[in-house]
Amino acid sequence: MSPLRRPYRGGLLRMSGVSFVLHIALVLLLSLNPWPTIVRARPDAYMVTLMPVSLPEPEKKPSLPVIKEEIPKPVEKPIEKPKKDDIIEKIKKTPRKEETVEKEKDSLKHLQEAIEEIRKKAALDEIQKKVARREKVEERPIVTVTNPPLTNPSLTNLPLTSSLKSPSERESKLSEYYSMIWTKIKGMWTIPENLLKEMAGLETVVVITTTRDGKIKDMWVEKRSGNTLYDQMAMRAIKKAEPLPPIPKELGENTLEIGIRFLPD
Amino acid sequence: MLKKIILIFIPICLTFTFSAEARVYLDINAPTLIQIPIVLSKWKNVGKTPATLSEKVYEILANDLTLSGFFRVIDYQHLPLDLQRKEGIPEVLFLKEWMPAGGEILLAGETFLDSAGLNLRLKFHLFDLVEQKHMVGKEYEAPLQNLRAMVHRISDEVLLQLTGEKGIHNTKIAYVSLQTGNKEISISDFDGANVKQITNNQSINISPAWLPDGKKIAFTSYLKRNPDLYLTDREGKNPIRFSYYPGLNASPSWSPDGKQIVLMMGIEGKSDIFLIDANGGNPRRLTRGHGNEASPKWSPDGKQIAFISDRSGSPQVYLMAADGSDVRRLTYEGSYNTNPSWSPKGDRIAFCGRVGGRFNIFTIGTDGSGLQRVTSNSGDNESPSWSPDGRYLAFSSTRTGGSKIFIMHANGLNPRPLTQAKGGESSPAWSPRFE
Repeated sequence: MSPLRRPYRGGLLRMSGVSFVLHIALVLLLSLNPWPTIVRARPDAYMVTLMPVSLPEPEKKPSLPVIKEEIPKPVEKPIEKPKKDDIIEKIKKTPRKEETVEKEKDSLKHLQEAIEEIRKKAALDEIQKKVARREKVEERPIVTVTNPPLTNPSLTNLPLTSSLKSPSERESKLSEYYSMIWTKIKGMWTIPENLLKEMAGLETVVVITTTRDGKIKDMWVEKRSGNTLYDQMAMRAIKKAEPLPPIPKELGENTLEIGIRFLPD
Repeated sequence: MLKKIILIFIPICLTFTFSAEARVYLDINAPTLIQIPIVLSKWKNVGKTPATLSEKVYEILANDLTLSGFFRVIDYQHLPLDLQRKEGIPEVLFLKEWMPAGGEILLAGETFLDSAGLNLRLKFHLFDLVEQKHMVGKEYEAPLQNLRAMVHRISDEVLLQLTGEKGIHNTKIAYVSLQTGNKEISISDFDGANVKQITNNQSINISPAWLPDGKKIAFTSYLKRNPDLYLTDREGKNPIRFSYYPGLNASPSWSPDGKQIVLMMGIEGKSDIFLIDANGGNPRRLTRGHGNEASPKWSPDGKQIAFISDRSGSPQVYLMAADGSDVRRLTYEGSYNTNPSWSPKGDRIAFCGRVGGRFNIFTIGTDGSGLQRVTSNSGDNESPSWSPDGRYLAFSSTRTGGSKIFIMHANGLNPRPLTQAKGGESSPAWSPRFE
């Protein structure tokens, strides 16, 4: 076997030389490859978000205009400037350092969704012809704008005026409020027993806007049951429940929109 | 994106749905089952109308609404003093005054009898005290003798407004009465008023049935020894014998268009279902089995006929097409099911079934599903007949001793005797509405 080794040794040296060159080439190539760049870019982007939003970061630019584009549309219908400022201000006041770009984009998407929702609602309101009863139209969109963060798993954005520090505190306060509303309306919902059978399987959804003084500022049927009487009875239950428990001050909300689903069982 | 937080409250669940649009939804179920509290304010006598007339109107109205089973009538005499005195129709603007009455609805009205004392005018208005708004107002004018019918119309309208279906206050019930010692046919208003015996032949008169227009009643009578079919008007005048084939001529049921009659005919212990024309001619046999067939009832849409057959060994309810084809058995529970009655909407059939030696009322879907027992622990209950709105059943019951006619909701609630008359009663047949 030994005679065979010699030529191999020379080949081994040559091969290791080639291997070295190839490795160098590979390393160089890899450093130019876009894939690892993204991996590295991530911490870069991460760093960007760490910077205070007040600084005009280049990364921010593409995102802010998106908001600006979206805002003017709802403004046309129900709301004026204050809302626009509100949104921008809120974005600025999101000093969550752990937030990634993705999350930021996500919340922006929520904002867009919310804005889209506002537009839908504005249209609905017109249909409902209840605009006349609403003097301060701006209030409703503000509620919807401040609320989407609440839907985020992390409950990132607290309302500006809220005195509650943690999201869970706010959540439990809300739950408490909703359960009081639930109890009050349920207590007022009555149906003659002899009608219950005729109403089996029906569902009516009424949306109400409650206020800080427990009044119902707005009320409309979102889903009719197909049985006028059943719808009437649902509306009547809500009317009878007025005044409702006032919105807790700690929540910092002037109005809250709540859907009430009436199911006979 | 979407987060749902479900909170469980005591046994009932309350769902908060935090959705992207930030609207929380609260699920409210299991409403409190109470009757609608309706305030009946004192009726006003306009002009020289005698006070007793308004009192009569008030009494009939309160009774109608109570009997319907949907209302808790708040009598004006039980109101706070200042409201007791208020009579007639209030202004919508002053509806707030009625809040202490404790009702959700206010029914107010006026009675006006013309100077000749012949023509009566009734005006009523219905108000929603919760929403503080006017609901409906109507005026009726008719000769004084139609007072009851006029008040029943008001009740019907109130029912329509508050329960979504017109009432059945202007209907009658025909039944077999033993008051004279013989089986005679009587009719009564739905509230037990105006009882009238329409046969008086000292024979045996059974199985009354209304014509679709409610103007005439058919029945089987043994007046000429053979059980033949007779037809008479609501006053019992001009009875005519119109089906007298040898043997049994019984249990007639009109097709909805009034052109044909399905009935039970038979000789020598074997009975079958036959069709005849409205004048009694042209008999056609629909069933040809070896069993006995009885109690045919035409469906409200005229396409089917329900009947009883013992072809399986025990009497059971069957359905067939109006031409006798497509026979199928409907009831399988129990060994004795009779007296089928088709609900006006055509979706259910009420019948009498024997359980543990006692007869009770059941209802079942026409597809055989949803069997429900409606009476229990209250003597023998037989011969159910639906009200034209499908909300009530008239039936005979021995719950208070002898067999009497009772009325209850189709769910078995609020049973009440039709009349306070003495003597046995059986085989009720509910009329259509009289317009």
